[in-house]
Amino acid sequence: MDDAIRTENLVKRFRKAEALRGLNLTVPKGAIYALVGSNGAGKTTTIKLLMNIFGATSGRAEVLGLDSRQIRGTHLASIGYVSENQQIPDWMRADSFLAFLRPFYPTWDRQLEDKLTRQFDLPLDRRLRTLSRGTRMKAVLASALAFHPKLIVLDEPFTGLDPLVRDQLIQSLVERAAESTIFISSHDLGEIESFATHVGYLENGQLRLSEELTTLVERFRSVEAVFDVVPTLNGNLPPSWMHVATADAAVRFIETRFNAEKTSSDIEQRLGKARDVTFSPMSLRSIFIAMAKSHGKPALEERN
Amino acid sequence: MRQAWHIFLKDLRRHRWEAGVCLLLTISVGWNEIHSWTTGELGARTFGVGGFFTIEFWSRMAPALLVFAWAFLILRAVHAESLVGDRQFWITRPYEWAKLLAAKFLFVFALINLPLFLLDVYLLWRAGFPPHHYFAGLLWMQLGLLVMLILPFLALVSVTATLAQSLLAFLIVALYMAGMVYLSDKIPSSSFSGSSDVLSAVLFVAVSVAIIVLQYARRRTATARWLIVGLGGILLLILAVTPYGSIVANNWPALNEGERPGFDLTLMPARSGATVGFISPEKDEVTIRLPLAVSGIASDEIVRFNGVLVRVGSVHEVNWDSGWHTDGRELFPETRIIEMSFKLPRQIYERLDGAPATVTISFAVTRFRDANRREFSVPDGEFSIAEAGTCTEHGIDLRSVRCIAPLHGPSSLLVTADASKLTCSVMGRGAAKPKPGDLVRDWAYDADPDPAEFGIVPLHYLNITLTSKEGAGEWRFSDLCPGTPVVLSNPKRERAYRTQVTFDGLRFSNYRELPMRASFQTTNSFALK
Repeated sequence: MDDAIRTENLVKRFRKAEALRGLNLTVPKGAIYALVGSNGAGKTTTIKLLMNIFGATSGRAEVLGLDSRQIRGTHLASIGYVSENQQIPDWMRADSFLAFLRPFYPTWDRQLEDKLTRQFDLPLDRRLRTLSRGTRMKAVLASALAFHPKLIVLDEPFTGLDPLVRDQLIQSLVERAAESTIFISSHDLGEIESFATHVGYLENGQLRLSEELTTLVERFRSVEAVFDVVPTLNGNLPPSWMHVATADAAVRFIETRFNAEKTSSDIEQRLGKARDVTFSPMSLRSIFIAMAKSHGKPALEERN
Repeated sequence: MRQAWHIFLKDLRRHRWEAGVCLLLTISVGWNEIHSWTTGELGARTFGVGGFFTIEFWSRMAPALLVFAWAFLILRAVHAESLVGDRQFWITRPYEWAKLLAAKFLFVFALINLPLFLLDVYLLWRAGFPPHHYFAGLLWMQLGLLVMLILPFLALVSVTATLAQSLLAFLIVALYMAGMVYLSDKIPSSSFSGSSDVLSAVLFVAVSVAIIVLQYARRRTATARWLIVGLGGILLLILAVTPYGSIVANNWPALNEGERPGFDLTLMPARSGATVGFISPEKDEVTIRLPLAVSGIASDEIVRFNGVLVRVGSVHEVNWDSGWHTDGRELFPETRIIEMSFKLPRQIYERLDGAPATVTISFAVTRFRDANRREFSVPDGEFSIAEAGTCTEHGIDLRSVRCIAPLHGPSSLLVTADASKLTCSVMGRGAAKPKPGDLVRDWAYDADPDPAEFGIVPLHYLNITLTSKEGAGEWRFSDLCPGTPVVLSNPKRERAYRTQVTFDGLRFSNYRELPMRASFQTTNSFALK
């Protein structure tokens, strides 16, 4: 079993609204998997199904080799879960919060706990309700990391946090990456890019892509081809081109299956001999914005 | 168990103030109970505006406040790990549901059951009853508390997430119960027999347990809420479709052909002028009072009317049935007159229009035979009666004997005295001097005594007050003082059966009770019309 998470045709309906529509997702063990997507794409629903917070309408999911519907009680001793909107016992002091959780986890590591509290600079003698959002998130993350979880599940952990706190959280996660699989949902593509190994893009309850981050970045290019005469765009464009647009004698598009030779050959074949062709690497943010705008269509024609 | 203990300690720390209030109220209940032994009957004092601010007032309110405090404590403990929603911190932590539930029960046991048990042990000891003799009864009381209060509270708060939601749920349940009481009044015979109560109680407890387990094991709030709605529907259905007539027929079988009912009733002529009632009947009903002469009761028998059903028929095609109603009156050998009153729908009354009607009154009867008679002279100071516990003279205006018994009252204790031999004042004020052989009685009877009565304190208070009834008139109360010779006995239940009497040619207008009308006049006088 090399996958930490695997879902098959996972469907979740809330009355008439379909939050997930046949999700097939695989997260390899040891990966730092970032699940991204716009609001309402189904990220939180996916995580709650994986954690058995609620049940799926159909389909199945496995987490650490166990049917997600069976996950409860002692199974959760190997999963660290942090969510931006979790209700925590905020009447507790930070130290008593950690002390309360300690006996629940056979693998709880006091030294790691101490290290995390120092690293996060946690004010242990203060009640959680009196802490800032970022500090509270750090306390919860410390409680989710101190027992060496095999899987760390994070639902939008960086929302509303200042860059310094984000860096601290990311740093602590990266340090755990050697012993844990990390599954994280986020809007913050810039932060994700800095440490994720895999990325999945969820749109309207369906996974539009799921692959290693390096492969993804490698295969997306922003392309600009300049011609001597304005080329005529016909419908016969490769399906791997997105957002094809013309401006004067230039054609711009996003190549989703970049291969320098093949892309150059496709340009020449479909648009004619270009005077100049530029391939620019794209950030994760640019890639997902482009994908979000395409709404599932691989090659969308745009003209100005 | 370690996890349960760990969660319990957390809850104890979290809810220490609420727990403290509960413990204080528990102590207050005990203090008030002991205080009442020396100061008089519970609730005997009057409370004016000033009384509202006294310790005595609040200590007397303690039992009711204690129940509310318990409910709040259970709510707080359950909501500490709320079972409703998908954002609670604990549901993604390695809590084991059985241990979490055990922790909540441990909390309830430690702060509700145990303090109450200790209080009950102390009260028994203070009242002079060795607590270890009553251990089973005390456990029975705890079981009653668990089943009647704790489980339903726990089930209800387990399907709510906040105090506001819980209050709303309690309000809905209260409205439902009020509706059931109203319906019970409207459905003929449903307020009598009590035979469907067992089924309803079993269902109630089973669904409470199912909801608790379902919520803790699976957090299926929607299903649990539907279970509550379903229970409400089923209880309503049971109320509506229970074959009350068959149950009464089964529990009180008809007498065999030619068998005597053990008493005779004959309709007496109406008094001159209609009687005046003190309670105004409802607008759409007319109260009928039938005076009945009683005879034929053997000298060692007592007849108890458990239920009564009245049927009215006439040549005007009027057919009306009151359904079975609880009655509870007792007929002793010396009983000469009883009054049977019932409310006839005004529509029926007006359709009869003074015409003669046939009235059949059915009785669900239990006949008792007096047994174990022994003479007893009420002593001075504290004395003991085997069935009634420790007794003392009690009361100022009306002198009686007050007994305190452990766990429950007597199953059957009849106290009889010859009114002419009373050692203190004779019959009630203004009454004629009693003649030798005029009997006054008090009968404490519990048809189905449990090991202990349901309640907070383990003591049963019995006031032995001698009464008699002069004809169909008002009850007369007689003082009972030291030196009065009485006869104690234990009537035994002999037989339950059904019998009926029929009166033909009865004109309701002669037996109609006229409501008392009152008007306030400007001179502050109060007039009766």
